[in-house]
Amino acid sequence: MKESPVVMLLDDDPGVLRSLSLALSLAGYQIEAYATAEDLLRGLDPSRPGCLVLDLRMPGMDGLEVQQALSDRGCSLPVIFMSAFGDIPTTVRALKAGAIDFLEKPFSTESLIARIEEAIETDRRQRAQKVLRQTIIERAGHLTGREMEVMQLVTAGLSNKDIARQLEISPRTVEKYRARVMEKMHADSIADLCQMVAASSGLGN
Amino acid sequence: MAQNTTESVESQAAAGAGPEGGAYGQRGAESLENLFTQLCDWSPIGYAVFDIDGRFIEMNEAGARLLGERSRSEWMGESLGPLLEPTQSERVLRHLQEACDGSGESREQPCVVNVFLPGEQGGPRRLQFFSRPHPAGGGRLCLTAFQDISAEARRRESERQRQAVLDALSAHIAVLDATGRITAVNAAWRRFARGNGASRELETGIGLNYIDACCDVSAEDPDRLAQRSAEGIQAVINGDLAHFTLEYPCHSAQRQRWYLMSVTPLGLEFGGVVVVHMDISERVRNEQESRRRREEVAHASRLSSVTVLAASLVHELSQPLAAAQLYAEAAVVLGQQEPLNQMQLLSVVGDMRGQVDRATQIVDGLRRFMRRGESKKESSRLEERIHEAVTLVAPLARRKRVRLKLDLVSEPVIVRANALQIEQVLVNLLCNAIEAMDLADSPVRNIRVGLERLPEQAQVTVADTGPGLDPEWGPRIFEVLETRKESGMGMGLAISRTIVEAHGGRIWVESGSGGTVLCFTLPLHQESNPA
Repeated sequence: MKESPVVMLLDDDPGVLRSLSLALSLAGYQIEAYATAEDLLRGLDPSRPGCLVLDLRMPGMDGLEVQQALSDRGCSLPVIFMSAFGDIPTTVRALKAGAIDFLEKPFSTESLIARIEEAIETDRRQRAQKVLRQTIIERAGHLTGREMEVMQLVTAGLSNKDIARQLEISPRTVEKYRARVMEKMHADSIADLCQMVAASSGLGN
Repeated sequence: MAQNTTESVESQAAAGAGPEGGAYGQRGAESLENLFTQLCDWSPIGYAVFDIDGRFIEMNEAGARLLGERSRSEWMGESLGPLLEPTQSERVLRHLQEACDGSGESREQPCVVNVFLPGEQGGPRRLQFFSRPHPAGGGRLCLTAFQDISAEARRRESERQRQAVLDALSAHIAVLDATGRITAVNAAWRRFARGNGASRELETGIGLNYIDACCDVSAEDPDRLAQRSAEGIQAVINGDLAHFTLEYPCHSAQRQRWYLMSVTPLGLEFGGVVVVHMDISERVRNEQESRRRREEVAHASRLSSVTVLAASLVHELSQPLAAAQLYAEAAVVLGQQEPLNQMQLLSVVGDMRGQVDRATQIVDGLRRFMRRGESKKESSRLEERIHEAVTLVAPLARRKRVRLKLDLVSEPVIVRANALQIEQVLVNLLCNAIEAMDLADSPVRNIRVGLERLPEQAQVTVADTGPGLDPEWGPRIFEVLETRKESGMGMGLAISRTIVEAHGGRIWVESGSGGTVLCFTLPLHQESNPA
């Protein structure tokens, strides 16, 4: 989390690659510039935060194939595609595969930076969410079976009375489980608890 | 003759007298007369005495020889009349009458008349008669000398004929001697010189040294045309060149003109050459017209190329533009930094400039393309398409010193095609071949265009003597994006394939023996081709 984000660039045109690197370095970004897809895949460390700026059309492995290779490696870094002549099918495929944005060459440094900022923010959010989810899963691991059942019913919006009837226990006992759930999950309120369950969707299934 | 001499010596001895002796003088005079008579008979000149009715009174042997037909004695008392045409006969008689009575043009000068006698193969023989009154003829006799002037007349005639032929020619012709001096010119030459405001001397030009004249004008001659013609003439005179030609413009105020100068040796003992300036303006204008047409055709092809290539061209252009924009924005940032790193800033601006140049080159290349064409297929004779294409390419071939050879089947080959597009294909193939040989600086530069009639197809072959196709290229030369960078001609081949395939034909490349062979087929137009 403390690591500063890296912008990874891929373009086979040396002029474009050099000018991109310069413009982004001057804007204060940490840059890694690659001329070939193979070099990029070799140099990539998915654990580092940041984003990718890829040229869509290249001889050899093109942008879409790089995107596929990244996804195969479980890398979820956001991808910004640069294209000179983005035809619609290619664009759709790229977006479906999770591309965050498209830039048609030529573009301004400003518009590129805006997209990079968005991408880095997305990455940051994705990473934070991942961490949060992990924490929730960890906390939920400490819940007993009955406590898990109560949490699910509470977050589904049932009243203590309904829960008591459904679980065939006393409302008092429901109250007790509920307090223990709130404590184990470090939840301040029912709303808080609901958010945690939503963030770790599928939890407990 | 020998006997006469002996007799003469004997008679001298018998007389026993000296040279001054009267008797000897008498005999000597007779002998002298005898000698003169003999001289008269040997001479090529005929001598005769005519009476006023035109009858021969006396004639030497030479006269009889010149007249032919009869012997000397047979002519006596006869006139020339029966031998001559009636009008001639009359004229001759009048001449002789005037000579007899001295009523001719001048008493001092002999009357002269030309007499045409029927000749054998060489046409009529022409005799010239010089006649004066006989001093003792009492106005009824005349003395006539005559000679055969046929050879001289024929010589003059042929000279006049030669000049008339020269004058009848529209080309400007001058004959130069071995020193380059003009010895004869024709009427066209004189007219041209007059038309160009030449001086009197130049107008006839006779006696002028043409080579020197050429060298004199070379001052205001950027293409060294005059100097080159002088050198060419000298080379032909020296025998270093068998023939010399030079095309040059010579525009007047009214119109544009071009001439072809050719220098040919006379082949005479004393050397000398014929210099001919021919007006080739029409040919040059035709060529210019063809060139314009060729450019239009190329234009259409280029537009198609642009259409086919639009995407890749945009891609090609957007790269440097993207880079240039990023560099420009980086330069702005660098320019605001404190302290200013001028070296870095300049380097970035230099990089930016490089990218702009790259974009400019692409745009320049693109700008050279552009135009439109129409598509209409109709029954068309393939050999005519070939001739059209060859005509269009010929000036380029000539400029690149490429020889085009046609090897076409004799009967007509009819296809259903867009004539212009087929010509475009042929032009592309021919231009490729020319370009390939020119690029490789091939020493032998020939293109053979073949046309064959196969059972259901026509096959056209364009074979060059260039460097041959790089095996690495192979059939890819027909692919749209496979452009040979040096010539840009791969594009023409892509278009050619598109056109040929659109006509239901096929185009391919073969490896010939030392050269590239491009072939294409087109289906024959069944209704039109005789079986």
